[in-house]
Amino acid sequence: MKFDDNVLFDMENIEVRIENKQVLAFDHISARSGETLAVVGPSGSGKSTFLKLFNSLVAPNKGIVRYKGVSYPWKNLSQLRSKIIPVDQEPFLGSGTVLDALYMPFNFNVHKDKKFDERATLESFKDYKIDNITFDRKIDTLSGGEKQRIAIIRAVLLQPEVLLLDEPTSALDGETIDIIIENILKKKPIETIISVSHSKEWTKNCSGVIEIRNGKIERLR
Amino acid sequence: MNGATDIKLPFMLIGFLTLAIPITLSLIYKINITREIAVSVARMTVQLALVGIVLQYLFKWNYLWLTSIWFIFMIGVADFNILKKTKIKIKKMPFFIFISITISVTSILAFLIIVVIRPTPLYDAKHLIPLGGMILGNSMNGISLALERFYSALTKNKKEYYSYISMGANSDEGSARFCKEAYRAALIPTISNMATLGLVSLPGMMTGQILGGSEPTVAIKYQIIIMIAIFSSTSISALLSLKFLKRAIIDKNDLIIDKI
Repeated sequence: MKFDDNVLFDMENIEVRIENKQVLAFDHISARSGETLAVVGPSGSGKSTFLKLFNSLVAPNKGIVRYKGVSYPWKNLSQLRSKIIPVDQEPFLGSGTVLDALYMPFNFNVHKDKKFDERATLESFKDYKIDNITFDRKIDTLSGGEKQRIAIIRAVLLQPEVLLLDEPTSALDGETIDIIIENILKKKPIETIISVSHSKEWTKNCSGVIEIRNGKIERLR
Repeated sequence: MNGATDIKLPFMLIGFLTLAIPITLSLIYKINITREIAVSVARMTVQLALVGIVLQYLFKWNYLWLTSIWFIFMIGVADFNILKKTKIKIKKMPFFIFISITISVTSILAFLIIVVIRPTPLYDAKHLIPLGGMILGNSMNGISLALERFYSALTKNKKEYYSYISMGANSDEGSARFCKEAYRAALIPTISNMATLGLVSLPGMMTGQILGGSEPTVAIKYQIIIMIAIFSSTSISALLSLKFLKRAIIDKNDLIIDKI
């Protein structure tokens, strides 16, 4: 293996089967620290499954996934997962208030040294143009796009090393997509971002593109 | 000792005649449960008759090893009942449930007998079997409720669980909400039962002791202490079995095992 300090993730000879059907199979893919990657491909091609390999939410049936040279499964999984945080297409935020949802992960042991910064959070609400939402708003009263942005803000507050975004722009209109591109891809509050997206605008602003087609993976740029 | 008035066999059979009422009603209204009624009445009668015979000898011989074998048999039946009720098909689950019941029932029963009641001899089967049976039966219901609730909550809310896990929660933190919910579900029946006890109907053990000639004051002491023992044992066994189930359905990657 070539020695490269900047390689954050590398995956070798991966095969993922779900219910005995091959979903993904590829020889090698790596991602360097500081990259903003877009994973593209037709729906049902295994993009979401691919994304889950990064934080070990999917364990490959064959092959090795490494993060900073250490292969999965990690001994301290919660430590690993606290550094590689995903935001789902339809994030789970519970049924309480906005504040409950934002504060929730700070209860976990792995984040016990981090403090929930209320002022910084309110600043982010402004940046993401949802400053009309108060902390005591019920999650059920929010639109899909608002929930997605709150989930992104929450993930950034936890200061992970990597952000995994599954269709971060699917519930958003053109104008709001630009807001997320500005705040995530341009400001880069998190150094490394791996995303699945159908938006051309989003992909254009990423530093690299990976295409999945029929279970095969190719780095386009 | 002036025990309860014996029921003569012919009169016992006459007692069965009251069954004619529910059977006739189920026939008239076509409820189609005549078969179930017959089967369960027959089972109850045969089971109790056999247990009656067995108990007679267990009490007469009064050997600790014999009583222990009877207990292991009862725990096995309880284990089987829980598995049938919860429909959880995990390889090691029968073993885990057996261990949970054995630890909780044995420790609470030993405390009750050795420290609180102190019969002579300490291993007196007349004390061990009825008291142990009551603790066991209630713990069995508690475990059933806990396992059923935990399993269905976790498998129905996978997305929630994975959202916790993916933000750095370990499997205990990720499943805590479901675990608490299940633990509460296991305890609530006993808690509400204790709160109304004696007001509507006299509990079974008290009734039995009074019919058997005990003073109501003695019967009450036993009833109170057995309720507390039941509650304690239910809480231990429910928690132990929950811990076991959690370990069995979450793999080394903290992912929920699907093929169950």
